[in-house]
Parts: sequence; structure tokens; C-alpha cells
Amino acid sequence: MEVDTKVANVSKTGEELCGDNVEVVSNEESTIIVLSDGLGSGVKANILANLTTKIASKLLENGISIDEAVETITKTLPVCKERQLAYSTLSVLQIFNNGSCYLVEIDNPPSFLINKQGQISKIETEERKIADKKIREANFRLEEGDMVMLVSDGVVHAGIGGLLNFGLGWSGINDYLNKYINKYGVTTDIVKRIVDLCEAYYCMKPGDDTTAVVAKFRKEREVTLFTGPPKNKNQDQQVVDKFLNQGDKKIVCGGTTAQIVARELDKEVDVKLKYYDQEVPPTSEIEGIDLVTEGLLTLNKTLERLEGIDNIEELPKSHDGATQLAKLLLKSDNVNLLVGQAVNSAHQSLKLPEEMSIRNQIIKKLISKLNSKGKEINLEWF
Amino acid sequence: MKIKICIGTPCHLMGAQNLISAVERYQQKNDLNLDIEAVSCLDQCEEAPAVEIDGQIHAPATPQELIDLIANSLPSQN
Repeated sequence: MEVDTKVANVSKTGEELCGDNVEVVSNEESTIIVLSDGLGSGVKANILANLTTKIASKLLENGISIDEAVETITKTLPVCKERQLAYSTLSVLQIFNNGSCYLVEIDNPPSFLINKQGQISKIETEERKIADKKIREANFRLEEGDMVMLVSDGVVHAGIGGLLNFGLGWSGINDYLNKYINKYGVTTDIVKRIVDLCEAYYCMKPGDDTTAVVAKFRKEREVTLFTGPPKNKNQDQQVVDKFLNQGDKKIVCGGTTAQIVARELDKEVDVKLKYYDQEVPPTSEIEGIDLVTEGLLTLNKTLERLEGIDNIEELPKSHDGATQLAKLLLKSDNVNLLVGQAVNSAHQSLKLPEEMSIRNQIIKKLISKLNSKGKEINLEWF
Repeated sequence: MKIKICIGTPCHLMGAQNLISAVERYQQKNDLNLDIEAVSCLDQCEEAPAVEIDGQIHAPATPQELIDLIANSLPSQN
């Protein structure tokens, strides 16, 4: 299982730096989300919040207990000269791969649990004390599609100094969450909408740093990409079977490869005439396959599309094969690559050895690029 | 008339896109009803770009050659 997180924030009006900070770390067994609101606003608050999230996430990631983490933070934070105080709030949400969760809140507003049906509830917590700090703790379980939203007090106080005397409050935010979820569904985009809403209630002049972070627990997404005809024609059927049995999404790259897949499936390849990008040959369609593109040029262009970006939103708004391919790859957590090594003599005027063929080189580059984006790769040659 | 234009990697690199746009322009200008289809390979990679007109392969083809071929294969106007 995977955890998607999204953060949205605005700084207090007139401040360049946000006094709230969010840190997300993942290890093999869990994802840890830490939100902290430093005392005051601006540089000081930013430093306090940063220190708090960094210390908490690093300690918890390495299995050190929350008690020790809180104690360490209290003793480490620099003391404010004017207020004689070292202070920041803290919320920690740890989501394990099996869905069980551990939540700690210290002086932050209660977090929102949004289940996959869109019902919102306050997470039931128990109170205890660590190093004179009152903490609220909860252990609960998330199902696939559920979300948890953590907020800083700027969110529940939205409106103070602006449209309202006492702010929206937890229940006010809850009402808006309900409306947004009914309209837009259970998506992580909700944090952006909530923070925009708060900013509006503050009359676009936020009286406090305002941050919301959401974590969605979801199934892993797996894509299988088949490119290049197998070296041995007798393997065609075996590779196509493998291709069909792996992954939720399926991509074919290469004209001949597409013909092999269509033949084994007893379907037609419908090649499109339309060029969305001069440098990317048109895509094709085979019933039951999510994307069918030309091979080497499209793969090479896909590498270019993936350069320096992490989000689907950063891709160009084009329908060409390379952009569509980049989108599918970015969306997935696991990528299975089935790569045939037959060489088209027209592509390969130089008699390069197998491991130096153009396809091998592009695939190697693609793997290192996807690895750097945290994707799990499973590669097979045929 | 059935025209297949290959858009495989070598044909793309050798200008298949120009063939497609030339035929589309010609069709529009002369108000013809041609059956144009893109295909992923015509097995003529060494002679790219390749086209097939009513089952007959022509490779390599330039836009002008392709237009001439189509014009010559059309039933005479008079």
C-alpha cells in the first residue's frame, strides 16, 4: 500500500517565511507525517517549526519513542529572547503499510478523518503527559481510500480579524470539508481548497500561518510496459501472456511490438493519423491496452518529458504519446518492463553489440530516471 | 482508393508526417474521398518512408511523388 500526501499553506500576511512546517518521511514499514507550528511568525517561527519537524521525523523514523522525541525537542529548541519561551506545536501521523495508524497531537487542532465514502469524523484521542506537555494520542486503522487531514491553528481560526469574530472553528471547517467532498470527491486536492477558503475568510490577509496536510492511504499502482519484439519469435506468446497478467495499466511501445500484441490477442491495431507534437509519432489503439505508442523516439522523448519534474501537473498539456506515457509512469508506484531484444536492422546501421543497442541504452536511462523518482522497477529481457 | 502511410520509427524520421499532410491537403483541395490510414509498419524500414496505395507498396516516397501517384490512379475527370 502507498500513502499520497499533499500540503497547502499560506504565511501570515506580510511574512515571507511560513511559521508552520511539514515533513514527510517514508521507510519500508511506514510513512510519517509531521506538522509543527512554531511560536510567533516569520523567521523565528520558521526555525522553530523546522527544527521540530526535522527532529521528530528523524527520531521517529529510526524507531525512537514519541516520549523521547518530545523530550528531545523541548530541550533542544532555542529560547525566544523576548518571551523566554521555547515553543512549537506538533502533530505526528504514522501510517503503517497494513493501514494501522498512530497519531499524536500536541497543542494542534484535532485532525480530520475522512473515509473513502466521504464521511468526516474527529479522531478519538486519549490524553497523557510527557515532560509537562499534554499530548493527545490515538491508534486507529485506515482502509484503502481513507484520508487523514492535519491542520495548524491558522485553519480553525480562519476569519479572525477578517470576516468572523471567533473564526470558523473545527466544525466550520468540517462543514466546508463536507461540501467540497460532495462536490469534488475524496481527493488530496482538498487541502488547497481548504487553505484558499481560510485565506478568503481572512480577507486575503491571513492573521496566522495557515497549513493543512492530507495523507491518503491507497493501493499501489502498477504499470507494465512492453517494448521491442522478443529475440526469439517463439517467445512472443509467452511474453504477451506475461504482459497481460501483470499490472493494472498496460503500455505497448513500438510498432512491431504492437503488431505482436494485437496478433496474440486477435485484435486490430488502429493507428491514429494525428500529430500532437512534430517530434512524436502518433499513438495507436488496441482494445484492452491503455496506451500504444511508437517505440524508440517516443521513449526517448518520454525521458525528456520526465526531466526535472515529479508531478503530473508539471507535464505539458499535450496528448502526444510521450506525454501520455510520462503521465502513466509518474502515476504508478511499480513499473514492470518487458523488453524484447530483437534489433530492427533499419534502426541499427552500426553493428553494435547487444548491450549497447539503442533500446538497451534508452531503457537503462529510463530505469535510472524512474528510480530517482522513487519507483520500484522490475525488468525482464527477452 | 485506399492509402496506407507508415508512421513507424524510420518512416517518421524520413518524413511520414509530410506525406500525411500532403495527402490531406490534396484531398481537401480537390474535394476527394480518399481512405487514408496510418499503419505502424509496412516492412519497408530500409526504404523509408513507405506508403501503400491499393495494395501496391511505394518506397521511398516524397510528397510530390505520392500526390502524382494518387492523381494518376484517379479515374479520369472527363
